[in-house]
Formats: sequence, structure tokens, C-alpha cells
Amino acid sequence: MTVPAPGMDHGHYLYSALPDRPRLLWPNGARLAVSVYLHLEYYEMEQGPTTIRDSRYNSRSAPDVLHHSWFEYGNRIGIFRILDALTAHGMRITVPTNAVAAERNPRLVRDLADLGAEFVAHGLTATEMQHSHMSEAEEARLIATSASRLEAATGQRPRGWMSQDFGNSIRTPRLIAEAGFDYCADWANDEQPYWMTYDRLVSVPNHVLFDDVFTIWDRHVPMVHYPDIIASGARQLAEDGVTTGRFMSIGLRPWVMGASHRIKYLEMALAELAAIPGLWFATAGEVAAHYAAVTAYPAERTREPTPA
Amino acid sequence: MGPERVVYSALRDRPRLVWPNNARLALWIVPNIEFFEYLPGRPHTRDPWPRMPHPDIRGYSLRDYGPRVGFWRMIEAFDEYNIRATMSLNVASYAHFPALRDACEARGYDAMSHGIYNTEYISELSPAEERADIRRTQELFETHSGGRKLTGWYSAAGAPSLRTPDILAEAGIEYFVDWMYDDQPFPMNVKSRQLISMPYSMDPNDGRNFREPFIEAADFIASIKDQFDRLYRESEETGLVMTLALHPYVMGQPHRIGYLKKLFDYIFSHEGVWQATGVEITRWFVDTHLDKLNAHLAEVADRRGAA
Repeated sequence: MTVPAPGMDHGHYLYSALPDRPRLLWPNGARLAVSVYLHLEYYEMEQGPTTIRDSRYNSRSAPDVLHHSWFEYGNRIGIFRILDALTAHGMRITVPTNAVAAERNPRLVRDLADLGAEFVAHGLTATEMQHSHMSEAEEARLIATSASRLEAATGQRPRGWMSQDFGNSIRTPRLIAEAGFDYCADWANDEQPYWMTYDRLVSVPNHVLFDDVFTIWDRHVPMVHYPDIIASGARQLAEDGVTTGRFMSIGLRPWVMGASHRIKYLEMALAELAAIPGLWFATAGEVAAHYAAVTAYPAERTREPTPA
Repeated sequence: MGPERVVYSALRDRPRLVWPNNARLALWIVPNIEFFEYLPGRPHTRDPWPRMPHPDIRGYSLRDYGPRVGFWRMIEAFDEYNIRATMSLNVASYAHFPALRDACEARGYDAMSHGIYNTEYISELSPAEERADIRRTQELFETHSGGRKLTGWYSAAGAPSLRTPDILAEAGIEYFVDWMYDDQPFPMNVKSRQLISMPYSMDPNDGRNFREPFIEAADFIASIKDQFDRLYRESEETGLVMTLALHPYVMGQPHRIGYLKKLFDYIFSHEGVWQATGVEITRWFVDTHLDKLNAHLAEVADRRGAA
């Protein structure tokens, strides 16, 4: 039973009400930092018997040709539509990348690197979530292997980690810190980066409601709403950012937003976004580095949660 | 067998209910201030995080957005419209988040219990455990609010047992909302006396609606406007209650708050809306109307007996 006591019911970060924090200033007086998370993923046709997948993908067939080919459509077709839309506005690109996807798609890695994209370690494949039934050794190995294989495939040492499909065990934030990452992009709970309690690890928020899998694919929100969701969200955040800087992430999948019937709405959203004054388009790593440079690290350390 | 928990009564047969200053519609606005545990501990018949082995930080962190960010944006909007809110409060939130507690206490929000955690369900408890749990909920709130009382009750996750109303009445709770069967307050028969059942809404309700497919803020607010228009029209005949059930982690999001403000603009442009708290509506109903309604119900029962 959880004890009702001040603070969180786990030790990964401290409670902090946004209005009580010191003012956060972005570079050049920007009010809102925006990161676009363009996922590069590989969905295995066949998975191991103990693999736990996000239940939303649980197709009844094995091999899962449907989702495998759906993701591959994204990497062959959809991603180029999205890249055209992003580069039209000069937007910075953050790429959460499954190491296997980077190994299999050198052409995409090259294109993304040429555009100055930042690769973020994102596990091996889209079919392998982290979860509490994994042993610590298994999870640590997954994190280390993903990082080293991604580095080999891209030539960049990844500074950030994003867990596949928001999959975490109770140990994940500590293991990410121990693996040497500067930041994780796993938590949907904030409009600013904040410190985790492990070795100066920054949490750069992953705003799940601005993520296409959650809102468009899973919740089936009609695409006609998409430009308004993104633009009115950004306008409100930019307004609120006058008091203290805000952060917004926009999660895109080539197989979702790169589809021919959806890309128009992404283009509309990006055009509205580009017209809002006071925005800083940055990669998640740039946001994390800025935050770490201007914000004091809390002295208080907390405990790691234990399973019930 | 005692009397039925709730006597059947068609609203149009009842005596006219009159609100203060002859208002037509009583509107109570209920932010659900919730705490879903990272690792729910109690044995459960329903899994709060069914997507994967616990924890599920996608679900957890979206809800944790409430006390860090969404709550503050929502109460700023409430302040702008001078809204006197009624919290549906997982009372552990007061213990975990003192800043949130202070903000709510400074505004004097009415306190309706929503249990301790939204991941603990009293329907799973034995009678003795349930009684102790309800007592503990009250004590926790009294401790952290500096002695204020919980006036209302909405079981955590909307999951009461069948005996919950009896225990609540004994414990001094004034109103209860788990049974959502009416547009007016109505007496519920319990062992000790009558407990007032207040109208509440899971439909519409942002917490539930935004879990369903196809819904965004524009659709949600459109359906609330439709609800308001209809209740406003019908309340020409007799006083009604409208509930606006909200969640800071849902409507406190940056792309949604503007829609909430537009809704407030619309509702408050109407005459005769009494924006009140749960306890104010309940007490007005008890003080001015309950005897009349009970006499009417007794008369109907007599007629039925005679027939």
C-alpha cells in the first residue's frame, strides 16, 4: 500500500509545481522550445515467445506481416513526405532510432545525418518494450547494446534515450543514467525539462497527446483536428512561456503521419507552427543541454521504488 | 427487506424545486484531483494499468501531468471566471502535493472525497475494512486541510460497494454521487437516515470521453453546450442540476484550455445559472425541498398501496 506522504510514490524525480519553479529562460528570449521526434523504427515480423509488446499492436496473426509492412511503408515512402514538410520550415529533427532500423536503412541514416538530425537511442526494435518482468541484467544489456549498435550505424554517440512505446521497468531511469546518457525522453508529465534523481539525468518530456500513435492511430482523432491540436497547443504554450519557458514535443511516425491521407494535415500544422513568434526549434539534446547549463541540480536524493 | 435504496420517481411528477434567487439551473464544476499509484499495491479485481506489467509510465506520467502542470492552468481559468469549484479529491493528493493543497485550501473549494488513491477500490473490501477505509479517508483529509470536513463522496474510480451509502451516512457525509440516475438531488434510503444523492456525470466527462476514440476538445465542448442548452430549457419547469466533471490532466492541456474558457463564456452569458458547490446545492435542497419531496413520495406510495 502506498503511503500518503509528501512527494512522489517513487524515487525517479521530485514533485515540483510548475509555478513554483525558478524562471526558465530559453536562448534568444524564446518562449517555447519545440522538438520534433521523428521515429525511425523496425517492427519484427516474428517475435520471441517472451516478448511483451504494447497491447495496441497485438495482432492476432503470427508472423505479424501487417504491422511489419506498415512500418516498412513508413521507411520507404512516408518518411520522405515528412522530411520534405519539416525541411520546408527548417525544423530541427530528433530521431528516436531502433538500432536495427539504423543498421537496415543506411540510406535514411545518411539523409538524416545530412539534415543535422540527432539520433536518440530507442532500443533495438519496435517490438521489444522494456518492462518489469525483465531482469536488471537483461534490461541493462538491451540499453547498452542499443546504444553501441546505434553508434556504429550512425557514427554518433547517442546522448539521449527514449524507451520504446513508453515501456519502463521500475529500474529504467537509473539504468539509463548508469549507461551514461544525458537525458531520457520517456515521461509525459511536464511542459519543461526537469532533473531525474540519478546522476544528472535530465527528463525531456515526451508529450503523449502530441504523439501521433497515441492521438491519431490509437484514439482515432479525426485528422481535421490535427492542425488545431498542434497549433492551439503551441500558441497557448508560447503565451504561457512569457512567464517561464515551456517545452513541446511532437511525436511523428513515418507510417502514421507520412501516409498519403494524413500528410496534408501535418503540413498545415507545421505551417501554423512556423508562423508563431517566439519558438525555438531544437533537438531534444539541445534542449537538455541548455536546461542542464542553466538549472541547478537538486541536492535531494530519493529512493528507488520497490515492486508491490 | 427494508425499503428500496432509491424509490422510483419520475422527475415531472415531483413538486417544483426552486433554487436561490429563482435561478433555473444549478451548475457545479468538479475538477477530479486524482492520484494513480505508480505501483498499485492492493489486490485488485480490475487492473488500473492493463497495457503492460506495472509500472505503465505512459498512463502514470500523463496523469502526473495534472499536479505538476494541468491543475495550475485549470485553476487559473477558474479564477478568471470566479468559479467556486468542488473537488473530487483522491485525498492522498493533499498529502503528496502540499503546493496543490495550499492552492485549493486558499480558494476554499468544497471537498468531495474521491477515496484515497484512484487505484484503490473500496468495492473490494470487507465491511469492516470498508468502514475503516472511509474513516481513514476522512481523517487524512482533516489532517491535511487543518480540520476541514469532507462533505461529499464519490468512490475512487466510481467503484463503490452496495453498502457504501450506509457507511457514508453513519460517517456524516452529506452527499454521494456514485449513483448517477437523476438531474436533481434525491434522497437515498440508508440504515440511519436519508443520504442525499447528487447528480453527477460520467457522460459527458472529460476523463472518460477522452479515453474513447474520435474525441477532441472541440467535440467535447460541443456536447457540453448541447447538454447545457437542453437542461437550461427544461429548467424553466423546475430546478435542475448540471455537473461539469473535469480532470486537470485532460482539460488543463494547452490545446484544450481555450475550449473550456469558451464554454464558460457561453454558459455565463445566460441568466439564472447558479454556480454553486456540491454542499451548497445539497444543503439548499435539504433545507427547502426535502420535506416536500418526501411528502410527495409518501403520497405516491400510499396511492400505490391503496390501489
